[in-house]
Amino acid sequence: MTSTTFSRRRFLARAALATGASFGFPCLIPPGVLAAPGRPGANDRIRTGHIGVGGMGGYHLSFIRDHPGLATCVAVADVDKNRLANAAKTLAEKGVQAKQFSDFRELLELKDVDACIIATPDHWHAVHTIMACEAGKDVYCEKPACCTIAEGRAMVNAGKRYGRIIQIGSQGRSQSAAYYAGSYIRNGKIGRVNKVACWHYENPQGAQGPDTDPPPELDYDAWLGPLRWRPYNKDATHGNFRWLLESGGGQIRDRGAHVMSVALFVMDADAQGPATIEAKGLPPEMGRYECPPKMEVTYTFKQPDWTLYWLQPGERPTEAEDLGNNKYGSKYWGETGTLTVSGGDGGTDTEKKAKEYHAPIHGVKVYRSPEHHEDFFNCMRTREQPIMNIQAAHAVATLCILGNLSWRLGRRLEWDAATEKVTGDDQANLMLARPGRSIWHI
Amino acid sequence: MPGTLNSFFCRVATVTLLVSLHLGTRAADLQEFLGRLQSDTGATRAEAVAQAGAMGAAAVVPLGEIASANKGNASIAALWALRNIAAYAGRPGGTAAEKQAVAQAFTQLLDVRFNKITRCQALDLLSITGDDQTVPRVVAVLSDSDPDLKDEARRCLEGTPGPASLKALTDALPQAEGRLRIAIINALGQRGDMKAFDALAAATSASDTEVVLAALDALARIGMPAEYRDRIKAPDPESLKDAQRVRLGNTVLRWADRRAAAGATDEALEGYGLAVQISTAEHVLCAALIGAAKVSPEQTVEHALRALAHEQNTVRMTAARVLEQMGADDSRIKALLGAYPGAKPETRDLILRVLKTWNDKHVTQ
Repeated sequence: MTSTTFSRRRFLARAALATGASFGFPCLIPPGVLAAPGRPGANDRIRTGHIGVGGMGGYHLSFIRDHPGLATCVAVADVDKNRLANAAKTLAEKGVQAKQFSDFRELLELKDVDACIIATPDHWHAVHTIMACEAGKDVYCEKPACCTIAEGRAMVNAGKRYGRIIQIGSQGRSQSAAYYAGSYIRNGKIGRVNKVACWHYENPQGAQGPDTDPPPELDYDAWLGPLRWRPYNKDATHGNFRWLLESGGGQIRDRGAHVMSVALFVMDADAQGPATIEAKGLPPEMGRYECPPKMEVTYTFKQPDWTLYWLQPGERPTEAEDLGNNKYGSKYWGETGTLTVSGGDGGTDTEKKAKEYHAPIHGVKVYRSPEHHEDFFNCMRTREQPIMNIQAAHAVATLCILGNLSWRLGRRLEWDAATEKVTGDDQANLMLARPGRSIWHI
Repeated sequence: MPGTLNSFFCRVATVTLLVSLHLGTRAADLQEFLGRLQSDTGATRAEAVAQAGAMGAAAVVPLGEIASANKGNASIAALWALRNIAAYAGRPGGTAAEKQAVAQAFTQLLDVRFNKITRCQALDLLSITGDDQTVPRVVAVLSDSDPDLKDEARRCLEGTPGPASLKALTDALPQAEGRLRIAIINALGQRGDMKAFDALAAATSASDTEVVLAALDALARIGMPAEYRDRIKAPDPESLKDAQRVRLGNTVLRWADRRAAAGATDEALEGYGLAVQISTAEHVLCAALIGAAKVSPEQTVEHALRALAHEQNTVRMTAARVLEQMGADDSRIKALLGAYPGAKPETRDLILRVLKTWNDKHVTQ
């Protein structure tokens, strides 16, 4: 590509003159760049810019504020003026001042932001993450990673293209219990696992309030962003977007991003991909929430062969009765025993036998994260992949998305993980991507 | 003869009766279904929604009327039922005739007598059931006075497979304004088809820099061959604001990646070099190193070695990873060892790390 003032020959000539390099392949590193001011090195404090500061965004903001040894918040952006004001107040409580923006693009232009903490609704995750990578930022983005297969793939590609560190906020993998369970199972303590069942409480039904004008503090057009247009309704916006298929995808996508993340981690199956997906469930009986209150999804995996069940509500195993946070979790059946892991997010717990297990010296090693944010910031310095990197998160989101797709289409899907396509189903393949609204695209 | 005629008319009458009964039964089924869908009992409505798929094209307009009638739960159920009809029509093993009938029925829901939500839903469902035949009705919505509906029509065209939707987008671009213009340009980039070249090339002459940058990015996504570049215009990077220069640099990187994927190695390498000339942002440099190393490790080694000494941590680390992935040969080992004595501590650490990785790989092999 070239400009009207830039023919190929003139470009190469300029490059050669500037660098003394030989004709043919321009110098990748112009001389001036070698002396440029540095990004954080091993001992520099990391500066964060936060996009979305309500809900979980508020949690991340408080966490960063309270851990100045890890990072400092220098900027916040939100489309809701009230949330922006609350964020400023939260930071001011500990004497932290940050620039405030309504438009996240202005935050991305800041040279003093090293990493973006993204806690916007799910339908924004892909666009925000990709644009942050394109602005040179590392990214911590809330779960689920994405709403479509195409979004997840685009996020993975953006991370790879720019060598960015991306951590997705499924913090269950950073819990000690996940490490213990992973070590226990990967070292064969229950033999080869052939079945994993995740249990989780149901989707809510309801929300019958009328559509209205958006409140004055909210830029609704900006809130929608890439999401297909729908009228403003308070029961479908802040927090409640989770219960509509396109914006939140219900428990399987919102919470499956936690519970199934731990399952894939324990099974070391991020790279495997399901072979078939079959979902069952009746639609809600009332209200605008779209996700089936009760749902069962069966995922089969090949080589090695095993089956994963998402059961909503499912049945809590007796082994989970004494474990913390046991309204949801996963149970593993192997040839010689079982193991139960409760939770899947911040309160993940597991059975005593796993906690007391020590892998042999030459046994299978499992990555142990210090803490989810800390893992991210460490990896920003080492440039190693964090525990819930975007590739792993895309694998988890794929399960969630395909579960909903099978339900939505009312049929079993056969999945080719290598090509990321549904076999023999053109319509399903059309639904693996969706055009973004307005100017927003991946 | 009379006996034969009599027999013939009897058969015709029987067939007519059976067809009438069938149609009557189908009509009765539809009415029964619509009745259940509008039940005051939630479980009955949910069951009707779950069974809606097989009701087919005949149910679409009545459902659209219910959806548009502000009937609370019944209207919501009608919208869901429409989704299930679309899904059923598109199932593997379903007939093309059935799918086309459903799609044509959805185009009727684009009429202004249906409310905005229903029309938007129809547009969304047309993107997974529609084809060249449904495009003209969608194009008409591009002229709607409501900007949300216009954009939903654009989304529908972007998602509808086939040449007619692509042509509709390229035809609409010259007259489009504001965000819709950018949205159509982006849509053409997402479609990835060189048939959009002329429309996008024309857009690179726009007076609005945002339009120009969007058009260049779309051309990059399409992976326009280098031989076309004399037909497009690009701004002088020096004339752009910082953020716009970064965007242009990203666009060139994207183009280089696409050319690399097409096997056009020389073009790709040139693109990576050009990107860094346009924007000196460290992430652009990292991306250029990563991309160039995949295309031609031999031509990238020297740059990666220099980048090990870069002031910025991310660039040094990226260079190290690129070298690790390239693997060792005598000249690379010699070059690294030669660079070690004069290097800063952080660079020395990376040189050792790369050498160790190469050694570990060698031992493993």
